Amino acid sequence: MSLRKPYQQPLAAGWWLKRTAYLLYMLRESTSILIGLFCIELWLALLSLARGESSWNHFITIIQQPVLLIINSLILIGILWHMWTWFQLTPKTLNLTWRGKPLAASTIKAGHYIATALISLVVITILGGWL
Amino acid sequence: MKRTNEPVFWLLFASGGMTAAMVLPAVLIVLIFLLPTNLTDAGAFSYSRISELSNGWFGSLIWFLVITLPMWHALHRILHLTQDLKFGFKPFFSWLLYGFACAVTVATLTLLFVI
Repeated sequence: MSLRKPYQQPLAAGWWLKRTAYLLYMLRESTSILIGLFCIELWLALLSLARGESSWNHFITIIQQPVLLIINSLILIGILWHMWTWFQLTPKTLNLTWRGKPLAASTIKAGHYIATALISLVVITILGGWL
Repeated sequence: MKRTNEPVFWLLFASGGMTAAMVLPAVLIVLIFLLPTNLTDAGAFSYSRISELSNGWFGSLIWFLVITLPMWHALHRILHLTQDLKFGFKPFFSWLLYGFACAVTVATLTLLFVI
């Protein structure tokens, strides 16, 4: 047991409203809510697929309703913000070296964007039915 | 030093964040822009085609990873949001949110065994 009793500075729940940097941090963290929502949406897609053809067709109709298109657009904006902030952090979280030398931060970030572009191309080709 | 289970959750958080950033934008672009405007190939989203894609082990694996990893990522961050917003009750929120992630994981596996 530690006998140390560090002073804990009290912090109000609205601390993140006080500075732009804090606000941007909370905005980044909040993208997780939209990501969670989209995961539930994907799970519902799988559920309707498991339930059979009429259920699946119903899901495909609903997913194209204006309300869902607006929700999905908000989710897309949130996920793009997540992507931007996530890739900004990659040079800090991934300390990659090449032939004994650390890779430049810009190289690590560019690598992630290139990988995303390639994955997106594959995903769009498969989902679009062109493969 | 006390051993914690934090690295496990952090690994799921990191891989989920990467999946969300690299895979989900393309899925959303198809769902928002290509599908409603009929720019996709006719029958691309037909039941027979999607079932066929989902039936193999590879299709199942993709479904599993794309649903569960970003979910673990999201719930890990939401847990920290509750603490950032000074809600307190960290053990309660940990059980609630990681528990929900576990439930989604099991529910996804169940559906994948059904189809």
